[in-house]
Formats: sequence, structure tokens, C-alpha cells
Amino acid sequence: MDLYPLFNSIRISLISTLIVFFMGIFSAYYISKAPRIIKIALDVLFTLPLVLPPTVVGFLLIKILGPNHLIGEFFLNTFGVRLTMNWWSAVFATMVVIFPLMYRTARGAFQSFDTTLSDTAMTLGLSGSYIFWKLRMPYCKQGIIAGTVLSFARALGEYGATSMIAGYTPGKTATISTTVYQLWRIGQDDLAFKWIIINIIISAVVLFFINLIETKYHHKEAQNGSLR
Amino acid sequence: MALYVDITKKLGNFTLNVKIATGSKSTALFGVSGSGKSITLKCIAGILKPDSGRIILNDRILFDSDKKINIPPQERNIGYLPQNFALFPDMNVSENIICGLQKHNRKERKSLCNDLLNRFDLYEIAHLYPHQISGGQQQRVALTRALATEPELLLFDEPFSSLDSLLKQQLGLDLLIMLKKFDGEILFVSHDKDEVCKLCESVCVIENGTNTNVKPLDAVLDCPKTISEALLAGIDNIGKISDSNLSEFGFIVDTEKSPNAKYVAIKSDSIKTDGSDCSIVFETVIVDIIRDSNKHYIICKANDKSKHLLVFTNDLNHCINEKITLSIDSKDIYYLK
Repeated sequence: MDLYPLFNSIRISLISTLIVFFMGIFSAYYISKAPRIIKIALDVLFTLPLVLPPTVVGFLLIKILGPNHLIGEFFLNTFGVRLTMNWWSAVFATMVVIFPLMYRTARGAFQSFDTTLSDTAMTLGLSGSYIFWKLRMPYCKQGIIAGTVLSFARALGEYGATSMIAGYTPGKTATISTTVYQLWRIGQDDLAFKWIIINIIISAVVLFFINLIETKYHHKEAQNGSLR
Repeated sequence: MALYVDITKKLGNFTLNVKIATGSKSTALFGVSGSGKSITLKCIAGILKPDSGRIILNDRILFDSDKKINIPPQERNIGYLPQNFALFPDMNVSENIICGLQKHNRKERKSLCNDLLNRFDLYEIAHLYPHQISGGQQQRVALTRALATEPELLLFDEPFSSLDSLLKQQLGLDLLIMLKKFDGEILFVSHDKDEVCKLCESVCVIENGTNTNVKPLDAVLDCPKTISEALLAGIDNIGKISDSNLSEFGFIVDTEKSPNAKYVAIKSDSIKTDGSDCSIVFETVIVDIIRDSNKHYIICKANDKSKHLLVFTNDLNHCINEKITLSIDSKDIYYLK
């Protein structure tokens, strides 16, 4: 059994989760400080990929990154790089699809932050970046970790947009989800089942991990609650 | 040592317009919740930006809307203690205190922190996290952390509001002892008259976003001029005066000396029940008797329309519905605006 799809899926998910981790957190942080109208508009825009069908996301991505379109053409002409049909092309698709998950969990976590902590920290002479990394992030740690793990799990399961922008080339762009589809299409059900079991195990482990974080989170909240 | 504040700020329907000039070591802003006390403190600390005005601390301009000066909170050299103490939950006591030592380099911080832990008797809890220590200890840590910055001015926002009265009393004493060691100025916000009287030398009353001048505490206690000042002085009986100089309590008052007075205030212990000859003498009926732990009060009413009057008495033999003659000396009546 060729394990390339497993390796490729995990590679794509890790890279996209890492990028979206920072993008989601900073968007959530700066949107919380934006004027109300901008906040509402950006919130809708950033959450949209969560409810759109992945095929719509894939279609739009091809219309932007494809070799005959806007950015895709520019990259092909300038750097000689085709943005679609590579293993890393799937990163674009998974990034767009998981961004709302990271953004919304980070935003929820930041909203629970007690602003008197940052107010007081400022009067103590602590800088804005110190307050962000040493106070706000640890305070919102559990929420952000849960969001990151959930984003990773969703990236692993991404099929629609990925198959459109990266296609299915065995040993090159194949991921677990596209492999399962391909194996079913050509009637290799027994091999498809093996991949399905692998997929279920990974997802179950991830969900178990999220559960663990959440119980810990509630436990800590109860402790902190007694002093507020 | 002086703080000068003259600012306006609009927040929704509420407009803050305060003018404060302090002179003594400790000043209280006294007022009910929603009067604008906390907003004032946040403006002075630099957490909120006033719409216009000036804030000057010891000849240093912190905020001036005309000159477009707005010093960030980090550089104001002002300590701020919010109601919930705002200890950082993910840091232990030493780490919290080290946050207050930003002016010093990394090497000095550790030893300075140890000095402070010793000085304020926190050594035993240095490694504990805020949720593991008591409310009183949390307050001591928060104050130590604020004092570590060596501020010129220390701002307190209702430090005891969330504590029960026994703990409050103990903390009041702890706080007094700690603050004795502090050379800077203190501005203190409270709605509790006992707190204000215990901790402050001067006081300024704030109501609906505006305030009275800063006065020595003794002057306010001896001669209150507004309802808030009368409340601060612990006066129980406050009643309106009608156009015909009839007070709500049912006796005629002499408003010659203060023609603009709208209210009268009488302390419960300056009303005499022995029928002695004073400028005001009137008949009432006892409607209720209150036996406090060691005090004895009667509630009297002159007639059906008049307001209840709380009277302190040493005579334990009164009974409900008994008729009683009350007399008040004119010097014991305060006229309020």
C-alpha cells in the first residue's frame, strides 16, 4: 500500500494550519478593534467560506490562480511557476476553507479576555506586543489551541476545492480524500476501506484531543471564576 | 504634589465634565455608581482618551487637547488598581510583581522583586498563582505590583467593593499601613462613606458626571452643602423644603440664612427627645423602633403626610404609637442645595 496520500495530506494540513494560525489570530485581533460597520462587513466576508460549497471556493480559486487568469498568469509569466496542479496548490484550497474556523474561534477567545488586565498592564509600563503575547494569548490559549486543532482536522478532510485546484495525480497531488474517491470510482473497495479506517482513526484522535482541551478549559474557568 | 484635571468626555447619553485640583496626599472621589468616577480614573490613567481638556500631574502635561498632547499610559507614571485587582492569571505572584519593574534591567528585577516580597510580607506566597491566594492577599499583591513602578500618583477604583465587611475592615488597616510607606499622591474612588473617611484627607463629590470642588474631609463632615456630602457625613435624615418653608418632616424651618436651600439634613443623634427648649419643637408619633446591636433608634412621624424621621435615643422604654415631643437646635440643621 502506497502511503504517499497520508504523507501528502498531513503535509498540506500542517502548512495551511500554520499559516492560517497567524492569519486568523491577527484578523480576529484587529477586527475586534475596528469600527462597527467594517467589523460587520469583514466578519461576513471572512466567515463566508465556512458556508459556501467547497466547489464554489475551488471554482473561484481556479478563476484567480489558474494559468489563464489574473494572478496565475502573472506567476507563470514572471517566475515560470504554475500555481495549480502541484501538491502545494491544495494548500490554497485548504487555507481558504479552514480560515473561518481559526478566525471565529480566535475571535470568540479574544472576546472573553478581561480588558482591565490589559488596561492595568499598560499603566505598569508593559508594551503592546508584550501584552498581546504574554497576557492575551495565554489567557485565550485553550480557545486558540482548540481552534487550531479543529482547523487541522478540517484541512485533512478537505476534498472539493482541493480536487479542483490540485487534481488527482498518484504520487504527486493525491491526498487521502481524493484517493478514496478515485479507488471507489475504479472499484477497488477493499483498498478504499483501508484509507477510510486510517481517516477515521486520525479524525477520532483529533476530536478526542479537542475534548480533552475543552474539559481542561472549563476546569480552569471555574477556578478563575472564584476570584472574579 | 498636585494633580490638575479638567476634562470632558461623552459616552453615549452620559457626559462627563469634571474639574479636579488636588493638594493633599490622599483625595477621594465620592459618588454613587454611574456618576462617572471610574471613567474619570481611566482618563487620568490614560486608558480612555477624553474628548477635550487638560490633565497635569506635578507640572507635567499628560493630556492637552489644544496642544494635541496625549502621553500613553506606559509613560504617565501613574499606578492603577481596578476593582478586581487585575492580577495576571497565568503568572505567579513574583512574576506579577516583576511586571511592575519594567524601568529596571533584567538583572535588577529579580533582587528588587525579592525586596518587595519581603517588605510587604508576600514571600510565602511568591510562587502561587492568583487563583490560589485569598482576596486580601490578591489585593496586597496588586498594590505591591503598582508600587513597584514607583508612581507619582496611585489610582484606586473601589478597592473593597467586592469584599464582605469583616474582610473589608481588615483590609482597610492593611492598606493604610502599606500606603503609609508610599510618598506619592493617592486618588481614590468610592461609594462607601466609611472607606472614604478612613483613607482620605480630602474629598470631592461627583454626581451625574460633574463634581464639587475638592475640600478637606473635615470641612465636608462638619458642614455638608449637598445631598451627597450629607450622605458622606452619615446624616440619616434628609428632606425637601417646600415653598412655605415647611420641611418634609413636618416642621417649619428658618431659611433666612440660606435662602437657596432646597433640602434640610439632621443627624439622628442631634434630635432631642427630652422635650428640652430649642428653636424647633414639634409633636410626633413613634411608628417603629429599631434595636441595632448597640444602638437604639426610634422612627417618628409628625403627621400622615410627613416623612419618617430617624432619631437616636438612650431611652429604652419607648413604645410604638407613643406620642413624643422632638426638639432640634437650629445649629444642628444643615441646609443643602
